[in-house]
Amino acid sequence: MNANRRQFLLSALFGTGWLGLRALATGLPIGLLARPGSARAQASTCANPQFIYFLTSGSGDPLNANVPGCYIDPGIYHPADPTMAPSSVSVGGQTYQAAKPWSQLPPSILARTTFLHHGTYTNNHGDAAKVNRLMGQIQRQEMLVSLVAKSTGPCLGTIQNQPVVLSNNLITYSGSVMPILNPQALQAVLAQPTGPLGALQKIRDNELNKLNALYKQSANQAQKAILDQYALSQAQVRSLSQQLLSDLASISGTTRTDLNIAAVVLFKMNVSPVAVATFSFGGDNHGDVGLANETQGTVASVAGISDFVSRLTTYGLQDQVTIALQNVFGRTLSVANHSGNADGRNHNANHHCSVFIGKPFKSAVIGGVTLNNNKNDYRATGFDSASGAVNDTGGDVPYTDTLSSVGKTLALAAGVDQATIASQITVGKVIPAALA
Amino acid sequence: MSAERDARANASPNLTSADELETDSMRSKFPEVSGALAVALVSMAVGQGCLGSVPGRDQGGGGLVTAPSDAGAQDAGLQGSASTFEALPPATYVSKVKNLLVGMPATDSEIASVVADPSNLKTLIDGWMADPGFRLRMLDFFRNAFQQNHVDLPTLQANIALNAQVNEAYSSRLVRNVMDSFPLTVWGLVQQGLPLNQAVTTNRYMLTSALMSYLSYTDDSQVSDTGKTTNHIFSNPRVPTSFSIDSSSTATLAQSLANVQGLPDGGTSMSWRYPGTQPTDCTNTVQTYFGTNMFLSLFDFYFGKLVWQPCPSDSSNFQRLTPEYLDSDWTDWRMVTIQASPTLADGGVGYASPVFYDLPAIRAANSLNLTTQRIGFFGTPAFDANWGTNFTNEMRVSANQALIVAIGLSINGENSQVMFPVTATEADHASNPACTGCHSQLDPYKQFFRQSYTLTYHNQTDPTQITQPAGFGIAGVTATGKGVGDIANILANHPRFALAWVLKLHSWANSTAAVEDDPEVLRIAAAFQASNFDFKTLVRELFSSPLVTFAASTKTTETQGVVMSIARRDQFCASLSNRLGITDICGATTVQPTAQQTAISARAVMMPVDTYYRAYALPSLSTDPNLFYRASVEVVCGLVANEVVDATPTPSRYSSKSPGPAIADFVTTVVGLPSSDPRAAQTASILTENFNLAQDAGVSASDALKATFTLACISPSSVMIGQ
Repeated sequence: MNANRRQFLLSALFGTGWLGLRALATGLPIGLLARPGSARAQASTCANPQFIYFLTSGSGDPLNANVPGCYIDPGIYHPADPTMAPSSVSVGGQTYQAAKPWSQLPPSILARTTFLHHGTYTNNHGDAAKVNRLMGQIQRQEMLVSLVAKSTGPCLGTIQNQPVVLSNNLITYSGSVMPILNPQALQAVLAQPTGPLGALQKIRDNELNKLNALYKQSANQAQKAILDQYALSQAQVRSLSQQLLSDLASISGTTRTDLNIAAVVLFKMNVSPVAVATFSFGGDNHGDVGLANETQGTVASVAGISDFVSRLTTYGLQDQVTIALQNVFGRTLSVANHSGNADGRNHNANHHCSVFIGKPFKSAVIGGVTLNNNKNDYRATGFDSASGAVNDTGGDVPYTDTLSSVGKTLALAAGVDQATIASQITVGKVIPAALA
Repeated sequence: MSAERDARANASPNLTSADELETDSMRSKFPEVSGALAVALVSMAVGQGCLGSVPGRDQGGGGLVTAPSDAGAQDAGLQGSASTFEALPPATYVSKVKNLLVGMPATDSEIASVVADPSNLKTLIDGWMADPGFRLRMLDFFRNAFQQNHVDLPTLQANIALNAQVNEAYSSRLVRNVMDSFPLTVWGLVQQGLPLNQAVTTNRYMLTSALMSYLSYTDDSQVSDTGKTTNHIFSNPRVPTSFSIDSSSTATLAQSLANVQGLPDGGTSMSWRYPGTQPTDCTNTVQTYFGTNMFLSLFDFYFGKLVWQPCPSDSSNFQRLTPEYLDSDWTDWRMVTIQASPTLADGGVGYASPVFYDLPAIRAANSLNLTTQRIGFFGTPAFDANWGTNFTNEMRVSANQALIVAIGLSINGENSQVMFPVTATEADHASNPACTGCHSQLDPYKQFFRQSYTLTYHNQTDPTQITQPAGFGIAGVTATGKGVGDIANILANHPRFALAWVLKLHSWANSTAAVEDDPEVLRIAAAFQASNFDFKTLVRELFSSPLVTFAASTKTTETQGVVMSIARRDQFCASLSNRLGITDICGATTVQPTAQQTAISARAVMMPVDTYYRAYALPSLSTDPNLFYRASVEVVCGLVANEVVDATPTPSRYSSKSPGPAIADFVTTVVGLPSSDPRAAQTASILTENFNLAQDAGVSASDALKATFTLACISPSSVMIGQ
């Protein structure tokens, strides 16, 4: 039988792309193979689901030190470098002081940027994963971004629910560790060959489906499950847009720009609802002469945020992606708590500032800082969820609930439904003052 | 209050707050920390405290592998069911074990012997442990288990406060030496039949001459806790008071070392030749060095990167030179005893010997005298590179990681939640009741390390640190002592050592954690201990156990189901290398990779790797054949196909002129199905069909066979463990 006749018969029998044969071979439904992303059962309802670009770090960067809300007290020290000079920035109709890079963000970005002051309750680098789990306040020890991904993935119709991790961060999803992907290798690995090699790949895919089916005949349940996932992965890879994959070719390393390109393209390809990466705002700067690392990191990372939003706009995604910056802890704000030495900062479990940027958010500063009881450093305050105003004595979000409340707010903004949030995150409340 | 804290409180009704738990006897043992240690000990007695003793998985049901999630197949990593255990047949588990241990598929006779008598698996394992492939697999295991991986030179040098230059073209050799030294050391111990726990106490290390030179210099360049550098090399009467590097010299190294010139001021001088050719506009042909940093310059020179000024055409001020080390100095591995050389204050000579630049002496030496006591896995530069510390951390992270490696426990482990109090400062939080539970254990324990090491892993000479008492009170063992020698003995002899290493090896094999009180786990730990920690006994018992074979259910499988896993990158690459006879096919360990290795390595980076984490008792490893894994193995296999099908220079392993035998070998070697496997014949048919269809599509026989090899390479039993 010649190849053309073989092709005709197989298409007649099994349809375009031989989906029927693949379904027969793998045991997976045709709909799932045809549209691996959208054919999954809706696990939840989503209101305006967002992709999340989660920028996190276990270094405990001084992200918290130079944002609006941290210039209220001369006891809080900042880099003296002119590029970090205290500058006026309008947030939520009020004028705040912040480091110059924040004030230089385009108004269109500032209009949907919320600065949320809170604690992370740990000063231990190794607790980064715990902070991402809201310090145990999420059921089944799930990570916040994975909880979000589970809910919004089906709504967005992404190819996979699991977050893609582009920098060295420990991210789990249902207890499984997500592999760390190298942005530079994405295009080389995901691009499909064209011409004769492309034809070979199609043939090989079908033959692999036969091998999968063969193995499944004698497999037990556990073996079948992973074989099914392997087959599904093949369908997922083949559903990637080759046009968009070519946009990854400009990635040359792991700079902020490279991470941004990878994340934007992966969102545009609808691969995953969450991409995780790291932007350094100065790192673990115990010893940082002149706060130079803090300066360089802040300038570059705020510029990186601006770059990312530009790329989103290019792809028409500016209203569908939220940027969320949250690290394991903040840094000390008072020189006294760094042994009187202004060249660096220590860990600060009592204050961090998450920054959320996206359409669901309004321009706002939530909470703030106050001197701690020992009067030698600053901690986050409690606040009123309705107004975002500092209220350390009678606010409906006490200091101990600030982290979870921030988490709930991000989840809601991302499109997770209220019932899921209420049942899965056990402490805190959504902060309406942050939401547009 | 966190859910975790609630759980602890509810589980231990007799405990109130941590600061109420003190006993006089405990207080007297550690007067410096008062009753805090007692707090921890009582906490431990009821299974509380802040040690994460359930490794790798969360308590409370999160992430445990039970039934598949409600979200369906896309939530990968969850397979099998705790209530429907299905045993694997010998054909599957014999191949699984052999693949894990040596990266090879099982043969018909091997499977038949186990079918006839399952106890024959132990005999097979003994044979496989003699296979060269086993050594490579175990080097990978040891490198991660002893946390000797993930080294980069800038981080290493920052952590040991060494501001030296290394020619970038050679830095990979140094880094490779650093990462390979301790795995080779442990392998050496295993081959000598020595107990595995000697890996904690050994002062014998596999070193190369280049690495010895590096250790010698870094030891002589001692950095205190305050950052002050003391160059002990100047105490060595044999070193010159100045030296020069001369571009007109033709002296050999031996001549340079022998030719010590006297100087009018009573000093001495030596001279080395400038290797290679300077830029023509360099106006200096000789540079002379003296003073405090002279030997740093000589060290830079030895490692091939030196400030040489002025050379107007080169604005970097550095000249890249050929290092003084021969190629063989990077590969002449041998067991070297590191003797702790007392300081001058303690009546010793106070400097490292042989001196770093005396390469002939180093090449001939089997011992190295250093002022810093280097002992066990935490005495290695690789460990230093992984776990930097500072004046705030005070070696707590180093100490905790050492605890994780030795006995599989982590203070403030991944499952404990301790909410940092608002009122505590960074400095005094250690005494705050909310944090006492950890610090009461960690602070006395970390002092063992501080007594021996400065914050940059040099010899400690600060009497304040040396005299501050150290104490160990973890998991049922209490002890006092001094320095890293004593803590090494405590850890090596800890009752948890055997259990910890069963759990580590299980995790490596199955990508998931075993249940600690699984009777089978405990049996193997007991056997390992009874064998005097013979590593081969551990391997034999574990890999023949249903914990790995899934030939029968265990408490682990009853609790968390059966987890099937992908072959992670190291496993997949080792299997391909061993099956195809190509060394380091993915270029993971080769210092100067070929173009093919570089290309494969660049794609293989997308595959999950073996690793370890800060504060985590066991690594959490990816088991999911997700789309990135699927794409990555296909691309890697496609590149490998070029190396084995119609490859040049001939003879190639496979020839498209003989597709039949090639495909037959694909089935047995690459797919890994012996002829007795019922799937073998149909697999051969599918591969043959692929070859024929490819040719029908118009490609050459060579491309068709490469495509067929790729298919075999991405087949389920090639990319997954236990298919």
